[in-house]
Amino acid sequence: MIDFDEEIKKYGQILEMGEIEQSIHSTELKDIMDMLDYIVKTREIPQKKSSVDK
Amino acid sequence: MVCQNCGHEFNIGSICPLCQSDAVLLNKAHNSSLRQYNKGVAAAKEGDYSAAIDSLNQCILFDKRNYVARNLLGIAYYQVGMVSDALKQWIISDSFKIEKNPAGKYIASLQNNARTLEKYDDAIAMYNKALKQFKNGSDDLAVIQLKKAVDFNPKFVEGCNLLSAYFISCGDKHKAKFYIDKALRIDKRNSKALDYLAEVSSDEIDKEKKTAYKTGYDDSARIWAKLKSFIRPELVTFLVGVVITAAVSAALIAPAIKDELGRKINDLESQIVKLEDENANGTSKFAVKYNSLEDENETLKAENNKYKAAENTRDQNASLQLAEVYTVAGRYGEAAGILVKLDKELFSEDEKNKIDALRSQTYPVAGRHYFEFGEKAFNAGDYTTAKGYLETAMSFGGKEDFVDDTLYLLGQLSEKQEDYAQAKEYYGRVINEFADSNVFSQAEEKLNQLLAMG
Repeated sequence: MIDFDEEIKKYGQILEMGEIEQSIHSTELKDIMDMLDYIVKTREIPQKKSSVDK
Repeated sequence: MVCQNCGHEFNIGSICPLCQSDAVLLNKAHNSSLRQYNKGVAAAKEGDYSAAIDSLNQCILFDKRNYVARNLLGIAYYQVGMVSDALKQWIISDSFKIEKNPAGKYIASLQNNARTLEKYDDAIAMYNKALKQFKNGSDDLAVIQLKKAVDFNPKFVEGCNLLSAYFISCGDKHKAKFYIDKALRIDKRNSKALDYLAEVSSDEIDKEKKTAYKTGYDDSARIWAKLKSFIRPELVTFLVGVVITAAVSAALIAPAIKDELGRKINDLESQIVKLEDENANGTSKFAVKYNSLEDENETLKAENNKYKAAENTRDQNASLQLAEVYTVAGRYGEAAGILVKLDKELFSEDEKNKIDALRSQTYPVAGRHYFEFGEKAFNAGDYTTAKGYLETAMSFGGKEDFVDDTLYLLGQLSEKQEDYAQAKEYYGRVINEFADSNVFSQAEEKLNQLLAMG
C-alpha cells in the first residue's frame, strides 16, 4: 500500500494557458551552448584581468 | 571546421574567430542533441510519450534552436493532456522564424478548436486545484475535481495517475485499476502508472506480469487487467444465482416434460396399433371406402354391360330387318354379308328360323358371286384380292358346288405364297370332302407333289 502523502509529492502543478507567456520569459531559453559560452566568457575574464594585473 | 553558433568556417584552432565560441564543444553538444532527439522520436513512435518527453527535453537543453525537437515535444505533451506545455513549445519553435516550420499550423489548429482548448485548460486548472486540495486534506473535493478534469480531457494521464494513487491509498483497487488502465492506454510505459499497476497486482501472477509491463504494456496484459477488474463480488454472486435458478428450474420442469413426452409416445403407439388392426380387418376408413367404391364399380360395369347387350340386340334386330329387305330386293351379297355377322343366340326361335331361311336363300348365291370374283382376280394375277373374295365365298359355302373349286384355288394361292402347309390342307379337304369333284384329280396330284417335296 502506498503512502499518499508521500506519493503526492511526486506531482507538481501543470502549466496553464494563462501562464505560458510568463513561463517563456522566465525560462530565458538557455541551452548548454549558452552555458558553455557563459563558462568560456567567465573563464576569459579572469585571464584578461590577470594579464592586466601583470 | 564550421561554427555551430554562427555558421562561420575556419581552419585554425577550435575557437571560432568570429563569435569566439568553442566549435569542438559546440559540435559535441549538437551531436548529443541529435542523439536525444532520435531517442525521443523512437519513444514517441512506440506511444511511450513520457520517455519521449524526457529525451526531447534533454535534446532542447543541448540545442535550444532544434525546432523539430520542440515541435515533437509539443505533440508528446499534447498526447498526455498537457496542452499548455505543448502550446509553449510550439510558440517557442515558431519564434525562431524558420521557413516550413509546422509549429504555426499546430497553434492555429488549437486556436480553431477554441472550445476544446478551453476544456483542456479547465482540466489542467482542476488538476492543479485538486492537487492543492489533496495537500490541504480535502480529499473528497479533490477527487471530484480530478474526475471532472479527466472527463474534460480523457487523455489527461497525470490526472489519471493522481486518481489511481488516491484510490490505491483508499484500498479501492478496482477504481485504481480503471485509471491505471486508462493512463497506460494513452502512455504505454508511464512509470507512475506502471508502479501503481505493480502495487495493485499484489498476487504472484501479477508480480510476474510487472516485468512484462516494464518492458511494454502489451494488449494481453491490459485485457487481463481489465477482465480482472470486472470480476466483482456482486457479479459473481449474480452469476451463481443465475446458475442455481437454472438448475432448480431444470430439475423441476424436466420430469414434467419427460412425462408429457412419454404420454404422447404411448398415444401415438396405440393409434398405430389401432390403424394396423383396422387395416387388417378391412374396417379402416380407407378400406371401407375402397370396398364401397369397388362395389359401385361392379354395379356400374353390370349396368354398362346390360345397356351394351340391349343396344347390341337392337342392332342385331335392325340388321336382320335390313337383311330381309336386301333379300327381298335380290341383293343377296349384301344380305349375306349382314346375315353372317348375326348372333343367333340373341334372337327368338322364330327369328332364328327366319335367319336360317334367309341364309339358305342368300348364301349359295352370294358364295358363288364371291367365288366368281375371286376366280377372276386369280386369273388376272391379283392374288391378294382373289384370296379375299375366295375366303368370303368359303364363309357362305357348305356343300355348294363352288366350294371344291374355291378350296382348289385357295390351295394354289397358298402355294404361290409358299405357304405349303396351308396348300396341303386345302387340297386335302378337296380330296376328303368332294370325292366326285371335277378338280379331285388335280388336287390329288398337287397334294402328292407337295408331299414329295416334303
